[in-house]
Amino acid sequence: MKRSRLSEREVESLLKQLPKVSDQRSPNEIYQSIVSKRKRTKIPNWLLPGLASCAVLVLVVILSPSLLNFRESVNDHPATEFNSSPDASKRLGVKEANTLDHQQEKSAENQINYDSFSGTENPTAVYSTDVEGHLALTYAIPDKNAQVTVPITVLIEKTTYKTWFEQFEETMLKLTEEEWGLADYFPLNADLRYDQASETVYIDVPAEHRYGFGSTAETMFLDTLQDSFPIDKVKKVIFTTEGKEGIHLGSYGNIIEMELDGKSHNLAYFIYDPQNTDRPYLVPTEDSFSSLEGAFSEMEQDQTEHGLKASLPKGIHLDILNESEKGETLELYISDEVKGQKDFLFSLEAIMLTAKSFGYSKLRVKTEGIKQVGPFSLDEEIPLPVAPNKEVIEFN
Amino acid sequence: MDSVFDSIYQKYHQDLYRFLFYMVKNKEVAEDLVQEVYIRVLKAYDRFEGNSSEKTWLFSIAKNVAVDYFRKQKGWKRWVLEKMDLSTAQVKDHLPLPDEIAQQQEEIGLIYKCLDQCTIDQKMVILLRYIHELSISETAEALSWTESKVKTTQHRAIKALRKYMGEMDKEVMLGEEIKAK
Repeated sequence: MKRSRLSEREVESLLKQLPKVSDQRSPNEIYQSIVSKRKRTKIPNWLLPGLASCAVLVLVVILSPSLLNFRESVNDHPATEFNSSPDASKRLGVKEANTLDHQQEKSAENQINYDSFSGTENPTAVYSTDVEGHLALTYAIPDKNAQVTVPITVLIEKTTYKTWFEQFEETMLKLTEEEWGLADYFPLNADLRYDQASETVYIDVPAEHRYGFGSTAETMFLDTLQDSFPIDKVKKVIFTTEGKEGIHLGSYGNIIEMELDGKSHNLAYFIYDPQNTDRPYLVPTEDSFSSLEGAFSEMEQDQTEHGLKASLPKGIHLDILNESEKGETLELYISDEVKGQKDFLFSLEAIMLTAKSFGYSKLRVKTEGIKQVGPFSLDEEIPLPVAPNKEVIEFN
Repeated sequence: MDSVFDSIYQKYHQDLYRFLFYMVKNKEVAEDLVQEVYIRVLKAYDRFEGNSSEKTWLFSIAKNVAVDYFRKQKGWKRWVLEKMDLSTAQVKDHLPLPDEIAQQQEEIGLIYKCLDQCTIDQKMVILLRYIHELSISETAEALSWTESKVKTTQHRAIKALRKYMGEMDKEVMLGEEIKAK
């Protein structure tokens, strides 16, 4: 019976007495296992698609003679019919010419493939095709070192019977920030309420909330709110603490309300690459730039105070062809030195998100020798992304 | 041998191993996980900026390794359960008590068992605070939490342990009564 009455002190004292279990292996043994574990190479990402392509090639080689025979036997009949007509040779000639054109096209396509990048093929952002049937909600999530908030756009299935705010709140519970290499921040430790008429979100925090513990926590909290609500739906946030007016945030004092400034204009995007994630995130700067050229030139520099890396390769030759006539489409010249540059797809996406933030909706890239970057054909105008950093959440 | 490895081994190896052992309660798994810690440390050592102490930085890596391990385990178990339609109780691990614990007084064995009833967060705080004797602020740094979260989690963990110790005690007594009959 005594144990059921253990005091806190007694429990603490028992915990302190837990034995010092130790690793019996020698340092050398451990070091050798680490070395061999590090050497054990992972299956590279490209290997499986590569093997699949090889399998397809083998099948094509095996099946092609029979396919050719089949095609020839089909072609034999029209040929004899054409011979009986005066236009036959002409028509046949046209047909042959078409085939030749087709073959030329095919060899041109092959050429394009040679000119494409061998780096990463999957883009990070959300594009208009992704959004079909989905609702895109962007949450600004702090990184683990609380240096920066990363805008993560979550795609969830669209429903008609819930408001966006209900879905925003529901999805907030499902975010798997740690799996994404970010800090576990959501759901917010607060009651949220939305008033559509005044476009206001009311936030009521408990008295013991931790958003005011230190200036970093305070700044992260306000940044997260600034960047997590869509500016077309929320213009203002009003704070209360257990129903009483305002929230106390040390260096900011008692804040009663905050206007959302929708600061997503003229920002430059950088790379944030946390450990253990298969792809980096593209994160905008806090400050806006007066010119696109200035933004691009800054994107060649690491932003160490925020833990962000340059998103453009140093010394990239990048000319804005139509900056003066600001319109829908941004035209850029990119020199082909970036050809073969690993992960240039992320640089292109950083360019696109930056261009979007400067008000453009499409991008046309003029370049020599590069035809394709990831899924994007540089021969065509590329529609700019809808939002950065896509994650999909399935609701069961 | 790598000098970074050597230095970390000398200063912190047994601490890291002990933390991981009490997290997973399996020596072989703890051996694997501590190796994973070194792999991550050796990869990231150049980027360690000294904003936090080396010790709390290493514990923060060990914590991430442990959390990743539990996440993988959870995923695997969920998959097995879906495929085989088993209840969670049937796949719950029943690991034997390690010698070091078995040799201790009964209450130590009980509290060791009760640790399983704590959440992962509670367990991490308990281990860092009472076995590794980290201060509140060091624990907060290692777990990337606020000090207030450390305090409340620690409080809840101790409360939970008191409750489980009480329940466990009743079970033991009931067992003894049945045996006596």
